[in-house]
Amino acid sequence: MIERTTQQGMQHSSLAILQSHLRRLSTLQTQASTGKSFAKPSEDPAGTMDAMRIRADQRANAQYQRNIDNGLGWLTTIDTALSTTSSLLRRARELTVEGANTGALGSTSREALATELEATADALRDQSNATYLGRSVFAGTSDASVAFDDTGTFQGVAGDGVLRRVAEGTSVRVDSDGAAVFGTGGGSVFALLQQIAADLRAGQDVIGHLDAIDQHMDTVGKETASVGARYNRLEAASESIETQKVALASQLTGVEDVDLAETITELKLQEVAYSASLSATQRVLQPSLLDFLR
Amino acid sequence: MSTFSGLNGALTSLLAQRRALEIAGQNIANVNTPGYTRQRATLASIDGAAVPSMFSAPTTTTGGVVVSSVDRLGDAFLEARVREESVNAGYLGAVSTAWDEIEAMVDEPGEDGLSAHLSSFFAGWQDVANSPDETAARAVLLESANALVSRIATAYTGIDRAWATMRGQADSLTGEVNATAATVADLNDRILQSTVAGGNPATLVDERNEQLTRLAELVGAEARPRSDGTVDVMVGGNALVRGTKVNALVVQGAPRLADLTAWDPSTPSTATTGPVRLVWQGTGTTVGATGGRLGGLLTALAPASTSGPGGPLATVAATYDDLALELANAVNAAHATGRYLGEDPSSPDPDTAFFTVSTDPADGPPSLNLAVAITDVRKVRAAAAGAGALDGSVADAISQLEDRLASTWSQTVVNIGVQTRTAAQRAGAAQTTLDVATGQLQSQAGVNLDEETIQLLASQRAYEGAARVITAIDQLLDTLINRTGIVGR
Repeated sequence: MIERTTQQGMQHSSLAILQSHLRRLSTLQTQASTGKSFAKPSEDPAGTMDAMRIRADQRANAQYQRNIDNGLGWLTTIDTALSTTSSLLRRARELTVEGANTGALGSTSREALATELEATADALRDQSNATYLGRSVFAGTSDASVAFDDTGTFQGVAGDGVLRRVAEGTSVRVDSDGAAVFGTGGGSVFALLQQIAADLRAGQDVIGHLDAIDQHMDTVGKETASVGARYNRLEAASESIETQKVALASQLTGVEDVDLAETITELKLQEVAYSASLSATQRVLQPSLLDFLR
Repeated sequence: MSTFSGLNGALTSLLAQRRALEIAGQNIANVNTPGYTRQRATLASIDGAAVPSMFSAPTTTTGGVVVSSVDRLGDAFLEARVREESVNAGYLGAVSTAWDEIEAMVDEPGEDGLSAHLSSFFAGWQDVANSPDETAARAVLLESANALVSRIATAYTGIDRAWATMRGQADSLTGEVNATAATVADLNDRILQSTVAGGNPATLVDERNEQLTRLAELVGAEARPRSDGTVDVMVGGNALVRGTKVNALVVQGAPRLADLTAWDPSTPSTATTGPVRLVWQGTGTTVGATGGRLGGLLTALAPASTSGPGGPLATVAATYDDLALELANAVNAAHATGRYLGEDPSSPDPDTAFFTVSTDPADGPPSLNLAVAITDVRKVRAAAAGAGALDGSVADAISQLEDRLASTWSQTVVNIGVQTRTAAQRAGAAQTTLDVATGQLQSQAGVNLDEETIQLLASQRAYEGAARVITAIDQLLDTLINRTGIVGR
């Protein structure tokens, strides 16, 4: 059978070809104008999954960054409180050493030393009640208004403390156990200074208290080191998030965004193909034998 | 041989050529008519002589020409092939449309999809874990929880609405099938009458072919020609049209997606319960295998199935339900271990739910009855029992549920993407095959203007020739009648 060709068949196939060109043109046009290589999951299911995962990671990182910023606030507050505490304790030690010179001091001088020691104890309690955003940084997860009350008794809750999640599966403690740093009740650093002041007034030798002060200074020093280490951990986590941010953004671009040069070249090629098929259609559909017969 | 037989022969030629001319004209007139099949006047010469006998010998001249038949140059096999491909294209097209609708409602990847809502909900828990004393963080959490709940409900409602639209489409398509079947039966009758009367039913056959193709596309009907020129139309092995008789179809089954989801498969389905299905109106029995658009719609409307692929809409709706249940159960389980702000540890509040959700069909699907149980921001349980009042470890633990739920959801999205893509590819391939078959039919049965022009030309010239023959015979007779017997005049 000789392959017949008919006007209707040609119209049909010309239309189908034009349609397919136009569809391709429209896809490329969308890609070029949105800059995205796909807008629907079906256009690239695997890419969609990657894009969703990357976006989730980005959102998680933004949250981790917020957690870290909050945690850094806590640790900075603690660090300041501890360094002040440390200098206050140094001052208290000096006063105690001075007060230990029993022979050279009159009762007025002793009274002056005792008063300053008591003031130092009060200043220490102020530091122990340091707050960040309304929360006592030494009180753990307690909702007490202060970490140490007037008698120097710890009001907070010991335990795991306040944690900040800085990465998937990693949490960092951002508070300090007040009871461990300052002691509590009779064993607290406040009670100690009060005791020294009382001993000074009573004319007793206070040299024996120096060891206790040294112990407290040691504790504060250790805690400062620990806070510094945790601060570094947060900083490192923050830096790693910054690095990841760049990596994730470039991954997302790789998955979602079109290669603009390629897309525009393809768009141009497609335009040429489309106009070629339009002019071919015009040539093919117009003539018939009638044009050539008289 | 008569004196005038030559004239008669020429006359038959005039008539036959005019007939051929008219048919070429008819073909040209219908060059753009959909479904028109070209016709051709078949000419046959008339034998001049009678049967040879003892005293007469066959003469050499002939009696002229006659149009022995007007043929419809269709191809039954190509027509059947177009119908078969229409069945596939209709079916796959309907399934692909269903997936397209589902995909359009997923809204992923994007900033307003479910995954973004899941992320901000769980991020809200971390903010609560960071500052359990701040009511602002808690209020933000409740807000994002409500946004998440309404996003799930919106997604489900979208599926529900698409289902209802398709259910309506199934009804109206069935109406169209019945009407088309009635037209076919009517055409069968007219073709039969026309054939019996010796007429030419070509245009009726063309029209019936169009209707048969439409039926194939709609419901996957199969045409079986009978010897008397009529056609039987079979759907799923039973006759939709037999001769001039029509058996009507009707759609039965659940009118809403919720009814379908709530239906217990162990109970018998009635006219308004059970899966959506096509039923013979006369006998009430379910139609066997159906194809075409209606078949595709029924597939799209099918209930979700644990074994094998269920209906896409119901399956995705079930996924939303599962997600709602998993979210509520996981969050509630972790939430119950915690303590809220200002709760007295000695007399714990037994009401620990964060979300309320119900699996009772009477309450509607879980996606729609999922709600946030807490209105007082202090009742968000962030602190672990035994820890300080401002502990956030429970809130932190809840925030870690994100991975589980987000991966469930992204799996669903990818699945929808793959299915939509596959369905579109299959529908596209079927459409291409149909286009090829239609193209073949059109090149076989369609009108070629050049060919018809040649036909016109040939007929016109033949007509002129026949007229010239008449002139020649006329001049002969003139010579015989008027110029003889006048010798010497």
